[in-house]
Amino acid sequence: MRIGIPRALSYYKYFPLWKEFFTKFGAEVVVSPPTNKKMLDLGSKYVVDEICLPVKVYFGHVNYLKDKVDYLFVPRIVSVERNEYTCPKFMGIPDMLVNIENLPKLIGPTIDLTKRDNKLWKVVLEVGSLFSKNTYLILKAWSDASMSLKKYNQDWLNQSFPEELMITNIDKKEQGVLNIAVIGHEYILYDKFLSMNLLEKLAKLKVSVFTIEMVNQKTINKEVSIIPKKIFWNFAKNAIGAAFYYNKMGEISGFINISSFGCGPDSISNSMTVHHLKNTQITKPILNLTIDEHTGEAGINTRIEAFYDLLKRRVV
Amino acid sequence: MSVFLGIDVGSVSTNLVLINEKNDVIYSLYLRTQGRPIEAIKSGLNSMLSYMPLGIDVKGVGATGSGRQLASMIVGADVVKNEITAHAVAAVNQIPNVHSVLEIGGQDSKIIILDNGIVSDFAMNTVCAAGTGSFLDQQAARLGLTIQEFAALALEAKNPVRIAGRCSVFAESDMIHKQQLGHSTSDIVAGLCEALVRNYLNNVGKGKDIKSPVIFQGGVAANPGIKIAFAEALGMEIIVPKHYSVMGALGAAILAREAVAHKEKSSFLGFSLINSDFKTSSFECKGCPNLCEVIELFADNTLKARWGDKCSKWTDIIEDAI
Repeated sequence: MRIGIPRALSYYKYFPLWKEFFTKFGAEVVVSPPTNKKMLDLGSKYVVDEICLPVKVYFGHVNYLKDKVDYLFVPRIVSVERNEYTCPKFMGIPDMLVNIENLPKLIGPTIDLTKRDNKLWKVVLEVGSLFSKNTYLILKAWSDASMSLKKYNQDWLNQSFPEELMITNIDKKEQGVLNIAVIGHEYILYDKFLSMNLLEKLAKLKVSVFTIEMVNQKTINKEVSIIPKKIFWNFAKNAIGAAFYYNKMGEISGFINISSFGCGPDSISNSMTVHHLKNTQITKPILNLTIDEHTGEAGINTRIEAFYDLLKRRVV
Repeated sequence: MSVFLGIDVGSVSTNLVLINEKNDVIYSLYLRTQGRPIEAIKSGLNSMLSYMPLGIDVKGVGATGSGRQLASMIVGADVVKNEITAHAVAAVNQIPNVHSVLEIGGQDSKIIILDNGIVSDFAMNTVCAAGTGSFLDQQAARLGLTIQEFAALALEAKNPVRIAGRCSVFAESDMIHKQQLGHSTSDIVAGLCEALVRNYLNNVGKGKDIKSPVIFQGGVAANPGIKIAFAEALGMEIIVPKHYSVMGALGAAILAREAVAHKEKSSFLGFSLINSDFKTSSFECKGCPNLCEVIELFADNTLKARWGDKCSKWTDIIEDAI
């Protein structure tokens, strides 16, 4: 059995988990290749208009996979933490996919952990029942899979990029000339096409990059607790918490915010981050980058170069 | 006399500046790029050559602007710098204690905040070019005015109308509505200036600490209506420097002077390049699904440079060959 996983959106957060889980049952996991222009073109054709670029690209990946696999894994991720939500588009993905013709069968479980009573293991058994009737085997596969995810996340927490992402960056042991915190969704940042290769451009300038994933969840929760109102968009909360944390870290000399044009949660989290950072005693420059369908890289290069010049003159 | 040349190839204008050893501007030229940057550079150099007194020696060349790579390959630049740095350098050269630089060019607008002559913060417009020079150009053309007449009209306004400035498409439809209601052209033009300034301050200037002295530069600074609107919105005096329209080129020239200090000889290819025949062509690389558009530059039918490929396989071949 061949199961397709689009290399987009939640892929970057959970891929090792899903791959390990499906492989345990003898399934072959097929991942679409890194994003390219053709995928974007195909994605734009099928997706509803007025949607953000990462979702367009997701559709391109689905389109690439549709006649190469028996099943497509397209989870509806509503919430991964109590009383918090992911993003409206994540919640609607399986519904939007009906626009694509000749789709294979979908495995589209709803993952919604907003309420205390909603248990993840129920979803695991539901998906696992496609492969096996043995509850023990399913839960065992899940526990092994969770270990893979843990290792993947640990790479980040060790201040390096997981191998699976194929990101070359400055070796953290060999200190870069500048340290910059790059705040952005992993599905933008680690997709070289969407981010216009931002991480490697920074690596070429000998900049060490620090991202949201490199801050542990406990620290993030503690950092955001100074905001009087609870931030119920989970990704936004992580972005804000990480930015607050990096603001206090002396060796970080500036911030790059990268987000997609038309992202609702980002419009709030970016403003909140900027507003808060401006109100602290520490003033670190912030560069805002907005990506959309344009493929000309001149604009983004100019901004990165200028930001680099600015920081370098300040630091030296 | 030793001089340094700065070239700023922007979306709307191509500017050239010559400075002497003391950073004084001895020649400046503002040309419309008109979508043909190579011709603009050549004709700019040509006009410069006919103006230049004998005995001038170009010791260094700097290129900036969105067409800086192209310019540097054609003329042989010693330094290629982004517009922000070039503009900041020029602003400090003109007004040494400048704190805030408001810059509106053809297709982008930026704000630069300086602290003791060093850039401490900056921002550029994001994906949308609403409220930049090319939009003003379009609107002037739509009203059948030259951009100079358009700028002068704003000063005659008695009661500027309110125009939606967030998006240039909305602004245009709003302007048409106001015209059909019977507002005078000068009131509409002044309203548009205010809308652009409002949009700039909300967007590019968001959260920026704008303090005096404030410089307003870039091609749009030629428009006194915008200058007045800025002064009113900020409640500050706005300085438009003498060389406001060629600040990028001036900055590039200063940077070139600094760059050649550590070099034996300038990379400048000489004025003979005016007689070369430059051609560009492009092709779509089918090597992978990215389908990059690769651009090739020929000088007198010899391939000089290539760019535009994400993986640099075409760029590398030519660099190896040269």
